[in-house]
Amino acid sequence: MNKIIIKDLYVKYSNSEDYALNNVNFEFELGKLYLIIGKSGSGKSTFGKVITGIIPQIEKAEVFGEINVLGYNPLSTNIYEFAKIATYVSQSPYDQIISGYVEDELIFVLENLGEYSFEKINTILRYLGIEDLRNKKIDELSGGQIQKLVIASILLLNSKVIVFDEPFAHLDQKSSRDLMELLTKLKNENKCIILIEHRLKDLVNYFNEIDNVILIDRGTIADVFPSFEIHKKARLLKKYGLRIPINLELSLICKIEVCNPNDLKPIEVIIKQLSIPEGIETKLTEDKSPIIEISNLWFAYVKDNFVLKNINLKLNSGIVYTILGPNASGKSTLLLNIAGVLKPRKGFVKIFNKIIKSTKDTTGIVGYIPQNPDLVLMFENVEKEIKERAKIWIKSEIELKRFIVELARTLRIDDYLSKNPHSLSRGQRFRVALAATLALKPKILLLDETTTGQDEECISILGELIKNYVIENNAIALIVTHDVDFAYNYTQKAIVLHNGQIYAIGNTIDILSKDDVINTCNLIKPITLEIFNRHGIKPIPDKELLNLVKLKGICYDEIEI
Amino acid sequence: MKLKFNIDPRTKISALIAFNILALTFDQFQNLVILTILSGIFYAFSKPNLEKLKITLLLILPPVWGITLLQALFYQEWPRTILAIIIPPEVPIIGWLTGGVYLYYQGFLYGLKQSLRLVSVMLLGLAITWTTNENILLRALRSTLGNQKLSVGISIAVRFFHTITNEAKTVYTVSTLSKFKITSFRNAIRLLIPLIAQVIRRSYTLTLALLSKGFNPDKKIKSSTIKLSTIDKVIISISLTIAISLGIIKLLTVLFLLDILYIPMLRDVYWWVINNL
Repeated sequence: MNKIIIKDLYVKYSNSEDYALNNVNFEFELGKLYLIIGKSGSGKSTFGKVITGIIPQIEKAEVFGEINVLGYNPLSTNIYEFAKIATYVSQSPYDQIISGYVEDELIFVLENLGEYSFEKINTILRYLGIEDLRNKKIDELSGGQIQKLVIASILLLNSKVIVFDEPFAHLDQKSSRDLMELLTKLKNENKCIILIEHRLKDLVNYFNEIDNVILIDRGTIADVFPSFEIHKKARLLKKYGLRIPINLELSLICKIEVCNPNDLKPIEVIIKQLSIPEGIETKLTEDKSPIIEISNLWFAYVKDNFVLKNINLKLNSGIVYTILGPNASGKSTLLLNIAGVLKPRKGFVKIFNKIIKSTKDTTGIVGYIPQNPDLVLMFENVEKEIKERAKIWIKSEIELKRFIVELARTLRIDDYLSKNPHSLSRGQRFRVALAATLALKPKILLLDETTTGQDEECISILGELIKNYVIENNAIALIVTHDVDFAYNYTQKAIVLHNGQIYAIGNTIDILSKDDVINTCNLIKPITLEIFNRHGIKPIPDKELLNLVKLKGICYDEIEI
Repeated sequence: MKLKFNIDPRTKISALIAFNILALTFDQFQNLVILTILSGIFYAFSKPNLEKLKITLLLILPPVWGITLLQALFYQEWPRTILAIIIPPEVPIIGWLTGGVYLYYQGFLYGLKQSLRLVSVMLLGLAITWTTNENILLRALRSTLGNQKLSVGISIAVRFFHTITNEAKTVYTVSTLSKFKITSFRNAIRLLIPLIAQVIRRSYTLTLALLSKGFNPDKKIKSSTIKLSTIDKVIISISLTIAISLGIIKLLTVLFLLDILYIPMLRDVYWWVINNL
């Protein structure tokens, strides 16, 4: 049997009234790559977990119906043996590695299989193009390399069916492209690859490699279609709450027909025809006295191995800054120096003209959200998370109550005020952490790769909120990110670090338009920016472009091509 | 000459175990001195740099000083010779109450003996740690244990130690910047909440990860570690045999001295242990 047959499948969690999967029928084939899409909570992950036996064998739930995976029943086959047939790869690749070294990780898999051929490890590493990583420490690997190591383990297991749950969430664009190429290679070797994603935007360049798209909504399969026809389903995808790539979005608004998912005609046509008003450019204030002043800053964790070298910056209020740069370029270290957590070897950081010596000098001024926003959440319910921070500066109980409700409503967490923040979904936890930090009313907001692994809705809420916050409070935000789209759409100025030094600084759009910056930082230029640059037109962020199109009510018929 | 010249990490671990047994077995001061010198020689072979020397001193000096001084002050056995008078018995209140505080020579020697036990094992342990890669040491430990669940547990603990430490630092930074003060136990517990939540989430991810690596806790696995060389086997056998044998006869002697077990045929062995170990 070379198929996965699912008939009349129902899944129900004990803590829920509704079925997580409701009468699902589908057949997967070997040698194909499937994409399961649907908005958060639609049942995508549940589907993947049932196919691989995780539900009900590890995660408890009631499962009814028939599932046959290559002749095996995942509901009754020993889960440890079944993992060799169908494997589930969850998010956060870093947490999936058991050993401290690459070689040890693979030896661990071989030992579990009772095989001791080290040559097999060489073959797999060569196949994945990571043979030079064999003796490396896990801590030295990038997200993309770790993801490849996870795949190397699965290849040693020789699983025929592999389910990847949001594999691109923690990867930069270059690593995502590499991963997708690898998955296509695996598909061509007669494996069944199932991708679970909700960020269609990240997949815009890969639709050709995907065979079928399965759209899930509220536990049922709403539609199945070949991926090369995804552009024809743009309206349907929007209807089911999914965010579609900008070319498809523009094609819907302007009624411009596209012939394939990667067809950029709508963007090309709109950009060429639109006259971008001069006034749309964000006017950046150039304060005479900056909030943050960094002068000749040098920092090293060990001896003279400097992570930051001669950093000189003057950062003004009312601006959202992004810090870009390749891995280990010193981005997070710079944030921690500003926060007073790390002490410079040479030079200084001044905030409001006061030299920062420790966190004592930044307490109450700086709000910090680490890469893992869950680490901000310290109280038993959401309301307390906000209240305990806001009460430092709001003394009246009524005022405090009003502030909590307003902030919670803005971040769409007002329904969860009495809930434990750690019991919420990832996106909700992120919004609570953001609310908690903003409740401190900091003059300086430091966000360290906070957008990593978050869905588009959260990213857009974060972008808009931060933009408004810095203007309303005359504050400043510094956001470290790998997400070029985020930087392009929501930040005004960019600081590019390379090898611990400032490589470039200026308006984000200008900086991202430079090819040398894009290449140095291993980034991929946002597609609209690429087209703007190609036509020599002053670029504007995607959101402003969409607003402008909607505002002008541009329709294909009106456009001269 | 370096300590790491092709000595298998399992041999090093065995040697450390043997040193531990011997340090507990020996009572004679000179035996403990010899053991410490031996350990010191191995330590010297590891060629510690200035930083490592500082760490060694930092690890060794406080307990040695503490143990020796405490034993010298509070030694209760007889005979005992006064080395120095700290508080004379005539001193009002403290002197009257305590009957005087003295430094005893025998207590000082006893404390020094206890310290040597600690130093001998610690020096060898540091030498082994500094001359062996952590992954090789871990692999050796796993193969020595032979227990799949325990070895995976150790690997995960080592692997995520830095991660959890970094997370703890981050939580503390966030808490400080939020103006939260740790003034009570309840406040301190608050810092643990995000860390515990993280550990629970990570455990689930790791469970799934173990499945995707073919892990089966019920299946007996054979370690793939390279076979021991003859020299390694000889060193392990000799060191462990000597240490365990001496340990057993010492134990039997202690049982005899405590009037718990007397085996007549071991009379000469008892005398030998009392006079020589």
